[in-house]
Amino acid sequence: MMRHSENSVASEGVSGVGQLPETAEEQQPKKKKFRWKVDYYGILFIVPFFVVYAIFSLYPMIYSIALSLTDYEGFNRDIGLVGFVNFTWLATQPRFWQSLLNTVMIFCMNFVPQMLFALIFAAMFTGKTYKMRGKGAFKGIYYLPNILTATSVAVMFYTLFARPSGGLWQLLTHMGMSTDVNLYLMPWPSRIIIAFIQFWMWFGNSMITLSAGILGINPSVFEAAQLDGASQKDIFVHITLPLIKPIVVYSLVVSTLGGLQVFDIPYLFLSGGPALTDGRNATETVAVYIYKMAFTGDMRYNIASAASVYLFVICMIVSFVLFRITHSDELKEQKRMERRIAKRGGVA
Amino acid sequence: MKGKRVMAVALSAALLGTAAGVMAGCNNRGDKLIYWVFDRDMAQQVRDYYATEERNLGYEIEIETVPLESMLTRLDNALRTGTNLPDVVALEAETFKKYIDEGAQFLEPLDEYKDLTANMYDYTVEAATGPDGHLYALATNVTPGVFAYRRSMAEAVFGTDDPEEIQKHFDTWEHFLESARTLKNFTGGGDYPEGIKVISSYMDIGKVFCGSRTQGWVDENDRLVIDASLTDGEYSMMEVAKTLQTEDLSHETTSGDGTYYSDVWDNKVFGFFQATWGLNTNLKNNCTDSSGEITSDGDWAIIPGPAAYFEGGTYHVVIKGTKWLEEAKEFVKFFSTDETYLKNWAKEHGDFMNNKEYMQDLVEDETANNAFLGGQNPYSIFIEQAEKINGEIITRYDSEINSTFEAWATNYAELDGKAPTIAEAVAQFKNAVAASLTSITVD
Repeated sequence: MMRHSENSVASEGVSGVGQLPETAEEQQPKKKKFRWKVDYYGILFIVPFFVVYAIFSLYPMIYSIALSLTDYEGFNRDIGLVGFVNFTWLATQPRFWQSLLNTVMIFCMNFVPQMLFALIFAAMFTGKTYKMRGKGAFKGIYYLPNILTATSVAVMFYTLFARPSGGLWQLLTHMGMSTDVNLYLMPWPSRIIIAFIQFWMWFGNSMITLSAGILGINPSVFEAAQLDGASQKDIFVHITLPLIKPIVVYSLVVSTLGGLQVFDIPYLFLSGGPALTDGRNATETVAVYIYKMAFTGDMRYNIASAASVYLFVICMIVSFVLFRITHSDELKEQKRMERRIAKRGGVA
Repeated sequence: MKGKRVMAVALSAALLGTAAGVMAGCNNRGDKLIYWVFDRDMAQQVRDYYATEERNLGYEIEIETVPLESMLTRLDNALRTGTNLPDVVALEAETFKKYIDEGAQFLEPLDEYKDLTANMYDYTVEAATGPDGHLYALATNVTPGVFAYRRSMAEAVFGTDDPEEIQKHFDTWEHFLESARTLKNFTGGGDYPEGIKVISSYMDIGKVFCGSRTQGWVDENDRLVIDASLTDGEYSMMEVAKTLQTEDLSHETTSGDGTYYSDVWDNKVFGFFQATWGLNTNLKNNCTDSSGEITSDGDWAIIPGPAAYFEGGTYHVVIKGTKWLEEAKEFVKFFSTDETYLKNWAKEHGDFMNNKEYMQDLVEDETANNAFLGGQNPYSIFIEQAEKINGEIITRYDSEINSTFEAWATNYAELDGKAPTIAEAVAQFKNAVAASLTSITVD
């Protein structure tokens, strides 16, 4: 009964909506009829995105850039333009540069093993000859950390490495670490744990992306290689890897941008600590620095905005460079191929 | 084709609707008095004592319970933009001073209640008065800190569980450390194979020292001041922390983590430094293990300990420009002056409220004896400690600077071999303050 009534409402809706453009069509000159219709729906489809994007992304972005040029701090409402003072001030802050360095260090420590493990598992799960039991279950398990909220993950790892009763802390003391050691006061262990959490949370995600890439390769290529007697290793190195390069590049770009803006785990785990000299902090990333500048203490929105503009510029440069590298590679590849063909043609 | 059209229209409508909804959310509601609070118990007390059926206010109160840090971010944004503002807000002592300093801009003065403050603790009134001399907030509770200990352990180690006798072992930092050593070496014939740790987290002494300073973190010119009790001498905060750490006298947990709370029932730790509310929130709520078999309920008692300090405290403010001015003021007044509420709430939660007279009444009131504290009436000790609180040390920077100082005191106490000297730690502490709080002058 319910189902029936729902259907009838839906069909009414369809005819109701459907009639509108038809009358519009009749009023249009015949020539433009088709084009108008396409544009109309095309625009309708993209308008929501642009509206939402303008409100939630474009406006805040422009507003941040504008704020970075002002003296907007605390509850001060008389805002004046001050030029690039905030940028030059930030440039003299060891704490800011350290936060940038921390971001890069944590990213590198997490990204390299992440891609490595993702590749290995993706190859294992998509292998044609190596039939593995319970693939789906493993894929699900490896992806699971990504579904957990960052808060739970941060609390869980904090508890594991906390003195004096964290499970992993105790394991380390049994392996010879002094019971006086508090890992959370030591810069490198803290960074490594954060990088590990990032790795643990995201390698499943990369694995799924890479698996999709591998599955997208035409199976006949693998079959041809197998017929020619190529080993599994050869197939992986000479066929799989080169063919999923675009996906690897995609992962690289997305992870790098995500890595540069990482906030949740470093903030929730040790809130940027442990403290280093000169006001620097060992696990404070740029995003954490921005948050602290804007929403704690003196509430320096201008400095936070300037820092986010720096971050924005860095992200732009990094993505530009990454795209440039991959793009030129494609061109080179093409030229190389052309040369090879030309050479062969010459010989023939 | 028709399906696609419907999809397009539906999707657009949905997305635009979301955007419109967000925009609409920016408008003030105004048909209810909006109260923001950071603690669930306090939200409940409004329902239990104020917006009750018998009292029949004639309007509704919308209570929003938001964790403190998120609430402050939200409040700051609301105050800056003047939108989405609540009518009454509960603020907390460590972070509320910045709003009082900007009182004229954001808060309604409560000067008409100045007469009512005679019975309140002076420091709460002092802290709630803005630089312009107006009163901007009323404190609901007063939060002197005490040292809570396990009666059974005291009996075993010191031969008595009587608070007056035990206080003699903990009345100065020197005696505190001596007793800590005694506890550590006490095995009780195998009952305590690893000895007893005097406290769970040695950095808990940070709040005791910071709350008992004689000078605030900044002087009247916003110049950084480091109280001598934190850094100078054998029994300064930094040295006591280092002694506790190096001699293994504490359980070396971090305040607020899992082991810190399990130490409340586990028979390893002698006591905790807790403020009035902490006895209920941190100790009583965690005094039984998850299986329900082991409990320390009723095995506690409190003493003043080596120093009088305070931690936290709830202040109510009325946001400027509220449409509910009279109702909001009435609300604030109620939670600082109503006898029935103050006394009942104190008895129910073992809390200490901001009225000298009523709290004095509770000293003699046997119904105010606390079962969790083994039947001890805590009010005479609360009063003794509350009288010593120095409200002048409250500044707008407390929360940030306290944690920065504790971080460097921890580095001094712990970093084995690589530990900075006190002078180095203080210098780095100053650098850290300078890097995060530019409005402060650091010498």
